[in-house]
Amino acid sequence: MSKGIWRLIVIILLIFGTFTVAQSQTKLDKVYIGVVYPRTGAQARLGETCTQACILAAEDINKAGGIKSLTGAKIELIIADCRSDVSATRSEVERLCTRYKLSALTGSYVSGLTLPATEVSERYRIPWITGSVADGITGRGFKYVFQVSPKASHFGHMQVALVKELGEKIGPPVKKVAIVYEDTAYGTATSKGLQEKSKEMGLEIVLYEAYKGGFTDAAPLVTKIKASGAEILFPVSYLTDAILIIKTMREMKVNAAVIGGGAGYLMPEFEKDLGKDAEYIYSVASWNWDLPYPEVADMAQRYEKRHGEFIQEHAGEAYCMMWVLADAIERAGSPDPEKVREALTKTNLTKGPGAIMPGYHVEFDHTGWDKYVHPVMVQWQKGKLRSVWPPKVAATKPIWPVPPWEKR
Amino acid sequence: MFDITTLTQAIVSGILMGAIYSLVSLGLTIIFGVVRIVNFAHGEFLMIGMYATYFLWARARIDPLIAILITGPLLFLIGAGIYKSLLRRVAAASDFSKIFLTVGISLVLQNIALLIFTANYWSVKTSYEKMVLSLWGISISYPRLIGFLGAVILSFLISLFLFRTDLGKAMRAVAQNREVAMLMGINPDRVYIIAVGLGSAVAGMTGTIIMPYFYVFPLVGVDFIVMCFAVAITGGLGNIKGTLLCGPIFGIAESLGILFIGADSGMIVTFLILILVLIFRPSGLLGEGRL
Repeated sequence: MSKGIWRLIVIILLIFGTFTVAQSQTKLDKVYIGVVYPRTGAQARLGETCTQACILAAEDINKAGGIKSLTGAKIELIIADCRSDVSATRSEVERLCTRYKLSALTGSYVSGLTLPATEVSERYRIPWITGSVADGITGRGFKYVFQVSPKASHFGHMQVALVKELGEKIGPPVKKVAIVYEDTAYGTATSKGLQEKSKEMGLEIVLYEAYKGGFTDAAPLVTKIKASGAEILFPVSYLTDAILIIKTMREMKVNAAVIGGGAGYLMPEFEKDLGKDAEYIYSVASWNWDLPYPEVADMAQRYEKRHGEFIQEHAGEAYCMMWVLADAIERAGSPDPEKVREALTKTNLTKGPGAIMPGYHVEFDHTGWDKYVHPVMVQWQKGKLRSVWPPKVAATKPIWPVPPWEKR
Repeated sequence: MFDITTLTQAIVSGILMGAIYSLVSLGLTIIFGVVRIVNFAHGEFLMIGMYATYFLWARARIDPLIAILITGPLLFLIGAGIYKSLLRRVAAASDFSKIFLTVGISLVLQNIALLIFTANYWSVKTSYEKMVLSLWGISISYPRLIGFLGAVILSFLISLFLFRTDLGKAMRAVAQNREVAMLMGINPDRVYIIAVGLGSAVAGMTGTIIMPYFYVFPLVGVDFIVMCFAVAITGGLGNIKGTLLCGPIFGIAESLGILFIGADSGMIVTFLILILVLIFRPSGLLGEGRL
């Protein structure tokens, strides 16, 4: 019995061994791109959607003829799982950089993982393209890091600008706002942007409150929101807290319009769990499935058909980034990471699937940040998350003012 | 600073949640009182109860209020099974072995749940989930009210069982003095099985009654268990009355803490109470008990 098991283990090891040896040999007909997302652990839910979007993008690129300047070489993804963990991320990136002849890396929608990951890839001089939002990602003077997404501080600005404009154009004008946020790096960074912009625009912040994530009862927090008399609530929360906050607001008839700070407010589960209560809730997002660009609809439809849910913001970015890389490799005419980096700095996409970030123009500034990108405001309408603002990227009109609970 | 309605609302919310804390802690205290095992896997029994409720609803449309009749016995069997197969082996061992074993069981159950159910969040829909009772400006949602009433009724029935039935009295006898109980013809091993089963069943049934307003995921037990340990210890481990009293105290403390100190005060107030009680009454508010 035990002998049998040992034989089996040896055979499996041999198979794995031949695989990796086979993969690490550079063949002229393949270009290798490392894909690093959390596929297990706390951040696995969205990490998996991003990985799937990368797979879809690679299929599409290869179907369209691969990299033509390299005689139609196919994109081959080397997919790694960074396990929602900083040290695992470092070692996985280290492994990919040393074991494979990569042209580029992409990944990790989680800023806390992308920051350490890019420290490693920078050392190996391999370009890394990301959809993480932390301001620090392209603020460190790194030469091999590219960021297609809006930065965290822009999200808050966008949310405040929305209520200010809708309040003034449609009415009634907004005066009192409440900001509640989870006491994590993401929550703190986003709420700072909200606070600055609210002050700048002359809104009165009647409540500015951090809360401990993962609570069992939102009633005490919502009681406080109710007592503050806010007309607008800017909550920054992950899914479970988001659901509890909205449920409790309905129960206590707190009619402040909710303008969520992304994360929980964007997920399919948010609508699935809340049903009608999700209706009219706004949020900020870095991408959405219904952006009015010609390349988006078909891709979003195919993703939804394959996975049974709409393609979420980070997955959309992941898809876009794969095309940005394909474009750079195409122009570089070489799988060499140094040349791919060179080509990335000269990226200037105004059409095609590589341009589908909000703004429809991907071009990196000297820090590596996509200078034309901006966040998009979305709203749950009839069970669907729709892009509503700014008008340039709106797929439909925002519903404003948000009706009170008894009229929904 | 806050008007009377806001204050009352906070206190009412605290009491509603506190009854749930009491009920989870009750299971903990029964197991500790009788078997002298601190069950770190208690939150996972709650989690299993929630998943069972979810599937009964998703597959057979059984309302959580009825599902309680199924999840209770189911968790009793699981608890009893875990006692027979694992806990019994360390019954005579040191406290460390017991703690390591239950922590291990907790980790295994969490990861099995991750493997089978994935990390997604699931919830049930009920006909009463959106109904709200409004009294003098205070809102109480039906699911929370039902959960509260369920917790009160269950606590009452369990106290009745422990203090009025022969089996309950046998359990308390074993808890108070194992040797004398054996001399009276009580089989302690059988009593232990029933105690662990009952404690697990209580956790499972709590999971069922919170399902209409909560959601289940593999680590849901962790969110509850820290608070419930604080409740059980403050009340005096093994002391039923103390546990039932301390749940609402902690619920109100948590709620008022958020109102007056800030929503990120989290467990500060809770643990402050715990520390103060441990300093001045080291065996808990009402004293450590043997049921």
